[in-house]
Amino acid sequence: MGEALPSGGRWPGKLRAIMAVAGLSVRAAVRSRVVLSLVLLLVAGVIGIPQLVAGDGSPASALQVRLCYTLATSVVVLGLVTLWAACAAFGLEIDSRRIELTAVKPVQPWMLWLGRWLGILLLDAVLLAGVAIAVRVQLLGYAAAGLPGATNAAVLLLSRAVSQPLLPAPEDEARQIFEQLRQSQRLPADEAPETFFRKLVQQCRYRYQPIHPGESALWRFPLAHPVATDGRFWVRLRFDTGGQSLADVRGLCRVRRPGATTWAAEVAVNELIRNELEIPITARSLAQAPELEVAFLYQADAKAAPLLVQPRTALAVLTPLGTFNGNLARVMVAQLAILAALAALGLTLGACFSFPVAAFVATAVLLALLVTPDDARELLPTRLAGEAPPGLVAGMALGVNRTMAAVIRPLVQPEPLTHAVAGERVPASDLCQMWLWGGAVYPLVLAWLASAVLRRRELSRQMAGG
Amino acid sequence: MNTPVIETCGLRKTFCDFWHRPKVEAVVSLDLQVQAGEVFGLLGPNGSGKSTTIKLLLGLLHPSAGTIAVLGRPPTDVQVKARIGYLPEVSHLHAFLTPRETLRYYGSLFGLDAPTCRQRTEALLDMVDLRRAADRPVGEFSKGMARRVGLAQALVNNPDLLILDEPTSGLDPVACREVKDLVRLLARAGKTILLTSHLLADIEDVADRVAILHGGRLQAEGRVADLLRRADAVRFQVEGLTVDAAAAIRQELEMRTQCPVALDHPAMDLETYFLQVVARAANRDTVTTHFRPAEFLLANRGPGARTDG
Repeated sequence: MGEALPSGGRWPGKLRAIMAVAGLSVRAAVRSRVVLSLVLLLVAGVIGIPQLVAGDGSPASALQVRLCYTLATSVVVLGLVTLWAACAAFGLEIDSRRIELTAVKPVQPWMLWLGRWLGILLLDAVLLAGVAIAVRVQLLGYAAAGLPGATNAAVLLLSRAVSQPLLPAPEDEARQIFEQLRQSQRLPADEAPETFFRKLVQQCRYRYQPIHPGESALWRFPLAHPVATDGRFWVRLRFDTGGQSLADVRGLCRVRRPGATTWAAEVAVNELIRNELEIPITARSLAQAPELEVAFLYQADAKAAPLLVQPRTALAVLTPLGTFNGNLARVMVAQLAILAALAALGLTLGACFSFPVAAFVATAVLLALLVTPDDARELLPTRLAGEAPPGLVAGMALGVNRTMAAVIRPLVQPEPLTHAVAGERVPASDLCQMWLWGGAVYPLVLAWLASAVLRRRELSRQMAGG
Repeated sequence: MNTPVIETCGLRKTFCDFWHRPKVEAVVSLDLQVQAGEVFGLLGPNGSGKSTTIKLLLGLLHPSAGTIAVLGRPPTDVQVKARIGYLPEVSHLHAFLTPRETLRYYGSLFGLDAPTCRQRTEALLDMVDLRRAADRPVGEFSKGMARRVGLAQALVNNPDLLILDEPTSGLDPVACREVKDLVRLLARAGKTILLTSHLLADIEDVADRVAILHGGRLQAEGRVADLLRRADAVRFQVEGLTVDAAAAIRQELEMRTQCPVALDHPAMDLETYFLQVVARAANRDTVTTHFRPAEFLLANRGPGARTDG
């Protein structure tokens, strides 16, 4: 009998087989000109979008167009192609019966799946890196060309750590209020205590802190990353004025080390703002400070409406951390996790169905995932969305939508692109979360499913004896 | 020759429609045994269940009833797959790969390390005489050339059991003969070979035993010589006999047997004649392509290979 082959149950043999399948996927994509077409499409997007979308002319808007829109479009294009290519990887292979030659070799279905997945992921990584480089080059060109207004583009291409003010947890604050009400026997009689407590937690979380004219508010910030040696940092504030969409903010932003008696920096603010206000501060005396105290003195007329601020969501101190390029790389790594999940979904659908069916199901699933539960409620007829209980079909649709949203929440909850556009460093925890789910949990489950299907499925179906 | 390499018992395959209603009975109660070292031919007209049987043996289809043991295990076992070489009826190769890449790819699927894979690939390319076309995409190949690549990939793991579905399909007579020579050589090297073909002469030339299927059922099975032998007739072959002497012998035989006696000149078959013509032409001109199976087998002889060739 012939020689024993090293493929039986040994890892090097299995690894070689997996890498061979991955290599085949890459070759198939490159030689079928899929990659070339995709590159052309991506180049058109990266170059074309900034030409088509003007923004409001501000540097921040230009950055948003060049970074956010371009990258988001590229990821959408890559996502769709990844999904369909993954469907084709198994679907077409089985439909054309080409898989017969592979299936009779000593490779387990999961090895075929993993090889395909790695191949697609490798291609995606290369293409994403290309997009990132193209975007970066564009931003460099934009910065070199000069900017409208006083702000320089380089100021916007930042990577900063975000620090929130030191506040009690909403639950603790709610518990304290709850206890006070209970002791004074003022708890609402028509509501269960648990329900009332949950409402209190929500109220505390989004509680507004009013700042009346002439008054000053003070917050303490333990910094996620100390102030840089050059003393440069930013204070981010978002104010609302009662009933007005624009906030007329006139005042003084002061900063010092905790316990200090004098302010290390004072910056006058006189802005009519729609969104948030980011105040750049440079105070060498605060270099390497691990904590800061930030105060805002509201200097409007005595008759002016109070400023309203949600301390838990609308206040932050930003300190430089890392580089913009590094942050861009983090964004790409995060996007790759989404593409990894899409590739896994496509491969499994391709293993379950023929290519056209798999591509249709994949697209339908993708569209369904894009509809949030809030959107779904709005899409349903008013009668169903109102007080009357939804009908059976609508109820099922809502249930499916909620389930799908819950399943993908860990992957889509972090918003790396939003962080990058705001000049915030994409948190490592977000990356870990996205890769844990997009690169491990979903693929593992989907690979197991595909493997089970491929083991049971007849890979050479034919209707006539031959 | 006692260990069955392939053994099926009551094998049945029924194809069903979408609603799982039985539609076609492709294989019915098939009991088959193929012994180690045997060249076994599976014959039958179109739709007789040959390819279905092969796909059941390879685990590509699941039996509706009955059992299959290939090399003593279920056909879906990866240990079994590692010892099988398979050439499908249609090669289904990746059109964008070159023969060299194709062989390396399939070699890697067997877990062969890079040097072994490279050495096997080059030896097989020589064997099927595709070295000059080794870096051209398979998609550009003629059916015969693609068939050669298919055959080479079936041998990349130096298999113990070779399953060839219509191995000579699409090949010219010279290549057909070379494939048959290869089959004989592989058999002498201790391989077990199961092959199907529409060309009965091909099977007759190489098979030790044959089975004939019709309507999914086994109709006949046995050694080729036994099945073809006519025990009720005798043939003499004499050289240098004159016409008169032949007539006298015929008359004598007819008188003794009281039956008509057929008298004719023996003729070589067309394949032999064709090969002789081609060989003569080759001696005059440059030969284009031919297999070199012996060199490959010598280079890749397994530890248990027989040496009586």
